[in-house]
Amino acid sequence: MTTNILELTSIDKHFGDGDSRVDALQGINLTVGIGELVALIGPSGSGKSTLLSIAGALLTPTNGQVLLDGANITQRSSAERTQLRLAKYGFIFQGSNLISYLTGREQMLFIAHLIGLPGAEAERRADRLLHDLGMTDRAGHYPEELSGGQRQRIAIARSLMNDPRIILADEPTASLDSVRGRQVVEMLAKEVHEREKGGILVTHDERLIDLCDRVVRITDGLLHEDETVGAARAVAV
Amino acid sequence: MFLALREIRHAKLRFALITGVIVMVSSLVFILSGLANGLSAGNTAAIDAMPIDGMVISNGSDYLLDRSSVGADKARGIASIAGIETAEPLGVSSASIRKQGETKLLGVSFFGVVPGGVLEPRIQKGNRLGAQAHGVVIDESLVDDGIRLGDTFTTEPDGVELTVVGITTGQTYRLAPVVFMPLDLWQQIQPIRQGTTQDDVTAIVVRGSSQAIATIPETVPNTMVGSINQIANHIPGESEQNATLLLIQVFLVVIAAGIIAAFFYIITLQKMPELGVMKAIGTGTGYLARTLITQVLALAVVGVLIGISIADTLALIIGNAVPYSITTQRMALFGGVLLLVAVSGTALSLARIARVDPLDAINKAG
Repeated sequence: MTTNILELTSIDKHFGDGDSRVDALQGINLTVGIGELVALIGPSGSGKSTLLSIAGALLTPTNGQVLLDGANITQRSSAERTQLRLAKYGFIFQGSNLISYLTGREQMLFIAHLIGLPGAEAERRADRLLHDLGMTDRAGHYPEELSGGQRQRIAIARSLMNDPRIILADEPTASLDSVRGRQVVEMLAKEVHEREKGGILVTHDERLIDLCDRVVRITDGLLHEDETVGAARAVAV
Repeated sequence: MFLALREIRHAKLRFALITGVIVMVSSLVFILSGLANGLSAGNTAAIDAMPIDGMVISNGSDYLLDRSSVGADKARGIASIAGIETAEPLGVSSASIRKQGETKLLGVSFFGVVPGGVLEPRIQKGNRLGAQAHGVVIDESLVDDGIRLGDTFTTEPDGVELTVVGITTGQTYRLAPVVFMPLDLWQQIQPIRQGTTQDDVTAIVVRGSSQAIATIPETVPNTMVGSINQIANHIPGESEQNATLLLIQVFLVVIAAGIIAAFFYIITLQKMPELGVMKAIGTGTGYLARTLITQVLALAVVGVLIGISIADTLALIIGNAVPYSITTQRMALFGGVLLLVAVSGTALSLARIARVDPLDAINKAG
């Protein structure tokens, strides 16, 4: 019995060989508990994208172990990882996040289609999520007709469509002003807490970390727990 | 497919344009095919239609009926060979005719056949050969030139009067309508060339087993045998013209493949970031590949169907002015080739899709 959704243990990631070898991550340990939103903060080139990619089953580590819901997913094949991402992960990216030729509601139904959810159930789930994120009136619009904040709300709704275990958000507020950015992260935090998902939020914006349960900082491939916010940790271990 | 049609629906203009290109190329392919077929039929239809297994022609004629001359009396000897069912003389010549009271000359092919024999044409209107001494049966395409049942015309320059007693259809040779006449009449009006006699004809047509036909040159001196295909393909210009038109069609299909490949490749390149996101959220490469192929097939099927209807409409408009004929089989063949070519044109794009890395969805700068 584990209370952690995601456990990264002793993760190393190297790129290249010999003189050109880059140690992107060194000995990283990171856990994400149930209903916990972890902020991952680091400057450019710190390795936070690499860490997010390994946590998100997009990349395999050189050394170390990745457990998702207690299952070791470290050395899964590319096709298996694709399946895993579809089944267990919700993703929110910063830029061209949505599929340009699908309406908001279709973005959701596409996920349902991929996971084989029956039509009526898919529509019910999509409409509920759109309602929860306040996007019901904009559900029939294409991404180009939506504002940046609306697009990210659709993206949050989409990331929940497959009822994932964990949501990974890669700088979801980068293209938003601070007010809208904060609204988006508030919604993300609320969904993670209420639905008991795990969450990792990669961000530059220090003003958002009070919405997160825990903050980890990464510099030159090394991870540090941020004690100042550690007190806000929501999950009792 | 969830994505395929939604994407087409969203970018209507873009996909309509590429469908337009497919329409133009496919209609051109079908029209050319019809014209090639029509030309070929105009050249060889009367030969192709003969219910025979081969022709006995003079040795050294190289399958050219113009160069062949065989004694009509040899038909009897050939008919007595075991395995030969029928042997009948056939006279073929090019001629000019003029309708009485008019000055315009018309080019025709004279076929002298045995009345009641295997080569007698199927009558569409009027009477059979032999009903009247100088009665002839004409191909209906001469009717377009103003010659009708019962009309009389003269051969030029000899001025022999011939009367139309019957009309047949689909009988053209060397792009000229065929005028069928009794063999003895053909022999009478035929100018005697050097080394030939009044009794000579162009060929002896035979029906029978192929082994028996092959032995004919052994028993009948100075002859060779040719199949219908050999004779038809040696009509001057026939094989060259077919090769030229086939080459044009092949080029068109290749160009279509290139255009379709380039179009979908560019669209795929434009979608790379989006494809990265799709793979990151769990869409398999196979799914994306099937989506692309579905789109290409949908556009190609629509394009080819419109192309066929345009070709058909054009064929109606040009009517008999230009020889045009296309069979359903040929349309299906070219349509199938175009679809195949369209799908194979996606290979480049599919290779791109396979190489899309879901990692691209992650912000690299971080």
